[in-house]
Amino acid sequence: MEKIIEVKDLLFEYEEGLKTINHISFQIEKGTYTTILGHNGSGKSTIAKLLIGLLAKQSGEIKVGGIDLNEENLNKVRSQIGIVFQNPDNQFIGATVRDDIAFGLENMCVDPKKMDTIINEYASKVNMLDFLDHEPTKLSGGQKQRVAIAGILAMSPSIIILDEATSMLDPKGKKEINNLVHQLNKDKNITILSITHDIEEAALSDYVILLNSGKVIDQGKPDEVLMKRKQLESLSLDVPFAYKISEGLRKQGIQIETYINQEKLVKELCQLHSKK
Amino acid sequence: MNGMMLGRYLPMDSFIHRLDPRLKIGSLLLLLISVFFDAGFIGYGILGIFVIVLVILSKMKLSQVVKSIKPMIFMMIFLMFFNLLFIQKGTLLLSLGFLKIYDQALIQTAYIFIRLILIIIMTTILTATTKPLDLTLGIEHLLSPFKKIGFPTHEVAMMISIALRFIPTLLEETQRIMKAQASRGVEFSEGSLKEKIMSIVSLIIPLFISAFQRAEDLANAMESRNYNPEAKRTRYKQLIWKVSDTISFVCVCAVCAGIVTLSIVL
Amino acid sequence: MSITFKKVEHVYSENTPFSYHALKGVDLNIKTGSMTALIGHTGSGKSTLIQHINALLLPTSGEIQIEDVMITATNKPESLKPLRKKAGLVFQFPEYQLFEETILKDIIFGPKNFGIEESEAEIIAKKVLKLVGLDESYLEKSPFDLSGGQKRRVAIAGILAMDPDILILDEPTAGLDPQGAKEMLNLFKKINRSGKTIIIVSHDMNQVLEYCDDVIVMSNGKVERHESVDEIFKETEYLSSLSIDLPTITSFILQLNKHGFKIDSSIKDVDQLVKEIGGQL
Repeated sequence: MEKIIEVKDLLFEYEEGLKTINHISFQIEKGTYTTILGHNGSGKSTIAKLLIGLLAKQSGEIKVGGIDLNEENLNKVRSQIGIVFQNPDNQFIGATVRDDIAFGLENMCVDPKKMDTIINEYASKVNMLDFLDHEPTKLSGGQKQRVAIAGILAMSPSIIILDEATSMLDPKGKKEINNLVHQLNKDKNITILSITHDIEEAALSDYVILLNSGKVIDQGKPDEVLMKRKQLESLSLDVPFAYKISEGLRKQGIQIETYINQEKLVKELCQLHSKK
Repeated sequence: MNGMMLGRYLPMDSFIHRLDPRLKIGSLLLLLISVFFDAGFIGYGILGIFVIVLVILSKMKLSQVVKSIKPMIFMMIFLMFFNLLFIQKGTLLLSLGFLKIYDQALIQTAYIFIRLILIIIMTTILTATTKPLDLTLGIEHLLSPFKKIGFPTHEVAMMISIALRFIPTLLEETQRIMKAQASRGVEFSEGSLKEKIMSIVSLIIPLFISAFQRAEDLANAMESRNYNPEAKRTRYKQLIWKVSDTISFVCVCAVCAGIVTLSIVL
Repeated sequence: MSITFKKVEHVYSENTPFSYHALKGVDLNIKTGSMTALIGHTGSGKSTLIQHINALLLPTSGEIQIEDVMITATNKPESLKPLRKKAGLVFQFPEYQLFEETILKDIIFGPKNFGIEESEAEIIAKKVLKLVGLDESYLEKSPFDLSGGQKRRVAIAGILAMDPDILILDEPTAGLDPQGAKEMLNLFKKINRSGKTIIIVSHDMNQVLEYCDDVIVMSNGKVERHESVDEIFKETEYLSSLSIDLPTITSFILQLNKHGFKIDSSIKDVDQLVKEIGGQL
């Protein structure tokens, strides 16, 4: 598989001696949905800012799509990555939905005559076509995040980073964004890197990187990483619900696999029940 | 703050709404200047009728026009009062102890009153019929000749449009913090001077902190979407000058020229 | 102390083009000492409702009784100041209300506004800071040097220092990680056990199920349901019509029951559920 993001021995300090990112390395495969999981203050948001060059690394190597991230290549790297930040209000730049999507296009020097077609296309992709002339104050948090995604998609990136993009949303908004992102990952083969502390979201991803005090503690497929209960708990993270149930049942002597995915667990339990 | 009309855009579709923002800004400037030419009551009559026509064309309601004047009433009364007392020219009309009112004072005061009303209504027509963003775009275009002497027109326009975008957000935030502090026993309208200062501090500091946080977030969001103020950018909104704009501009010029002529003749 | 709403209406910016009818005929009685969740969509009137309890907003019509204080449309605001102390309101993201140089000063700001002597307020400050899980060494630190979660604790301590009988919290765990959220809710449960009435606005039904006794459901400015936690989550169709999710455990039980299991859907505890499933296999 092609590696789209390669991070090698990355070091970053906000203050001298305080290693926010402490010599970490990881690789992300093209087209996958990866989550970086860690509690607040583990350094996970700093990684996002390093990857798009909003912060400058102390040492180490970041490669995006084979291109080295340095001052000269900054624009080349940024044009491959779109990022959705946590606060929906503070990343809405335009006066209306239309203007906000146009902002990125303006920066890319797209011909103004072509902008309306592009804006309509991506607004409809995130289901915001009826809101094109709405001002941000009239939109819900989930809608604003969808606009942010449309603005990013219009710039056709190959990677989307979600920096706790759903943590300020209500459950409805959260679900909308999660569904949208999964769909983009599948249909358009966009690589997703989601930075989160939501264990259930991590359980649905392809690859999990577990972060604590600026170090990668563990990484791998979710059903490897998320099955280590003690490790998760020691990092003040939750354990997937399906895992708690299936582990509990195993302790009672019931022959069942350990799951982190609820749907699969329900299926197996129902089969067992019908065989009884 | 919710009832405030001055500076608020009214989303509607009217002849005035559709006019080019450059024309509207330019016309406002011309009209504001002509307001200060002393063309007597005939001149103000002409301007008044013209403004009424504009209000009708922009589909604003009378109540909205009245509302735009309301917040200024206190200032107007204040100004008029001093004018009445301090201008001592012409024939004495009334004398009550130290209070002396002359006929010239009465006329001057009426002028000021009319001027203020005209200025407020004209400005309101501009802001009510032009989207903030179009307004900035218009300003940017009108300022573009100054680019040659190094004036950062684009940056200024971007700053204005971001400021306009965040005004409602910050107003909301202000109300939220006021309520949060009121929940901690702060009374913004009462108390001694010391208490008042404290309550303002309890509002201002959180507001600043949050505004700076927003500014940082916004800068990150803009940069990550490849924004570079020095680089070349295209603009989504294009201003197109139409025949109706030219005709409107001729009308405005005619009215202004009329006022100026009147003031010279009189 | 019981909280009673009688036919409460609230209209924002009445008689203007921007007028908005936020509360429509709200009748409500919240029991003293209960821990009640207030749920419903964004814009359903939850924030408006809670701001009536400490009289930040006055009803357009109707009346509200908080113990011996009656709030109506014609109340003079000054007469309602004691209510701000009686009912402590913690807004969403309360860390944004911190402004003093030290944590101590910030915590005693509220009590001092209600006329409590500085020396006495300082004793209270030490007590509440400990209650929210920070030790005395923090008193002289600047609140702006803390992490997000710690700032929030200090802000909540500032409200607790006023010793309110009723504590109202608007999404107190928004943006916290699971561990931080759990600690926060355990704190509220502890305060509740000490006899205080607690009202929590929440979107997280798992929290509601685990920590609250009663649930108020709001929709379109009306209080549509006010029931015990056990009862409310039985109304699956009603909740889904408002697109309110069930708690994870409840929806899991219902899925199993669809396929032949017979499990009591009011089970709240994972261990108990595991036993129940095991028994039926």
